[in-house]
Amino acid sequence: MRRLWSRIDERLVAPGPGFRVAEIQILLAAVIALRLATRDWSLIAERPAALRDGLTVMSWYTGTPTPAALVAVQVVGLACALLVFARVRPHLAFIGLWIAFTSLTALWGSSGKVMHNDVLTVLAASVFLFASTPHASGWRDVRVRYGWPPRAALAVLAMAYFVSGAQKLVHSGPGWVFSDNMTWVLRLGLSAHLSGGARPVAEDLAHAVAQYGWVSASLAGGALLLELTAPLWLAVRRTRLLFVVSVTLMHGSIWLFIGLDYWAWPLTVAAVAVPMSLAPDRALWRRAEVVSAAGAPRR
Amino acid sequence: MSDQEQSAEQKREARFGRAVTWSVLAVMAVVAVGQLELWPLTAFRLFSETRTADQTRLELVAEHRDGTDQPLLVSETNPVVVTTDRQFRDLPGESEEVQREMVLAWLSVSGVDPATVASVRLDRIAREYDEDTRTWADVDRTTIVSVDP
Repeated sequence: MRRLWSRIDERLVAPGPGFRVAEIQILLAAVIALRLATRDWSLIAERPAALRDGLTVMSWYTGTPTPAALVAVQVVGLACALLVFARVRPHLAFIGLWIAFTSLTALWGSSGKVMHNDVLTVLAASVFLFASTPHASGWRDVRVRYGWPPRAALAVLAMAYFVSGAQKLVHSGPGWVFSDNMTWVLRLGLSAHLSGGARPVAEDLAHAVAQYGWVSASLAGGALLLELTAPLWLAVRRTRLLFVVSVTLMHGSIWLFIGLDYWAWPLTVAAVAVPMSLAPDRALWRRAEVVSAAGAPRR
Repeated sequence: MSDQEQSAEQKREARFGRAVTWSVLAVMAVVAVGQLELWPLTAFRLFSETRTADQTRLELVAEHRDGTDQPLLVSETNPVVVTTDRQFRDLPGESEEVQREMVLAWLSVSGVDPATVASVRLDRIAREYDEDTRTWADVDRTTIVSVDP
């Protein structure tokens, strides 16, 4: 057991190439920018103060922000994203982007319901608040400071999916898969648009899946297995891409069947796991360059 | 930079990386085990409760002075406001003053003039699923609390 821990620890802090940190930082910034740009954040201002609820990082602020202030935070966040893409003070810009996005999503979700839609993006990106960003000249350097942030982000993803699966077993046991649970999840989800939820795209298909117990139980079993085994998929370089495809299918089917927008999850997983599925000496979008990858693990 | 200095720096970087990584994972683990919700730290309870055929929902209904009833929040399309319906269940446990504030807020976002309302009641509604019509039907209604705005 001690040897296993030691190996995990060794892998987490092994050296890595500078370009990998930059790639993942840019991709995460792109995911955050997409979420920031495609939501009308001024809607937060329409919620009366009496209906604000839930503990978040923004609970210290008890007022109701004006629409102009909310849009200003959105614009500052998007400007920070552009700076990250342009590699102008990328670390500072990424911190600004993260703060803007986290503040807005925290305020958005302070209505009584725990909103998980953007939480994975916020948590995975939080690792990069502490990461060193390479200068253009250090792009190809292989150092410990560039090795640990991408692996820490992978560990955060693995933990989030594993905990999601574990909570299902803790609160429902095997019945989460083997009862008619998924049938009722689908039937309830299909009626959610009547009380303000989004109308699912594949209503008829979802009704058909709900009708056949073995199909919905298979869906539940597949989802639970995927969540519980996430650490294994993400630990091995060659299976990371497969994990990206699998979670895209899982979240995609949730969106199709019950209209829940969890697109930020597969996008975040892709932003981290796709670059980390490449060999350590292979950059994601720069032309193949010879990189001194001495010390960088191949797996 | 000598090899020795370089090695010392790599060790320093590893210590820092280790501290950040294990701290983040430890915090996530503590929040999950403690079932805490301190957004963005969360217990990740996504659909963790088993759903069954026995379903109930809560509905807030404005009783107008002219004798008509109007369910609140139903036509609300703002996603930030719609999810405040999760606070319906908190209403019975609140003080009268807070109940009144919350009810006035829900009347306001639903576009209902409080002057036209005699009281607002919170109903628990039992529902049944009809497999033929693929719809839920309300089968029983119990009033949990009534608030004068």
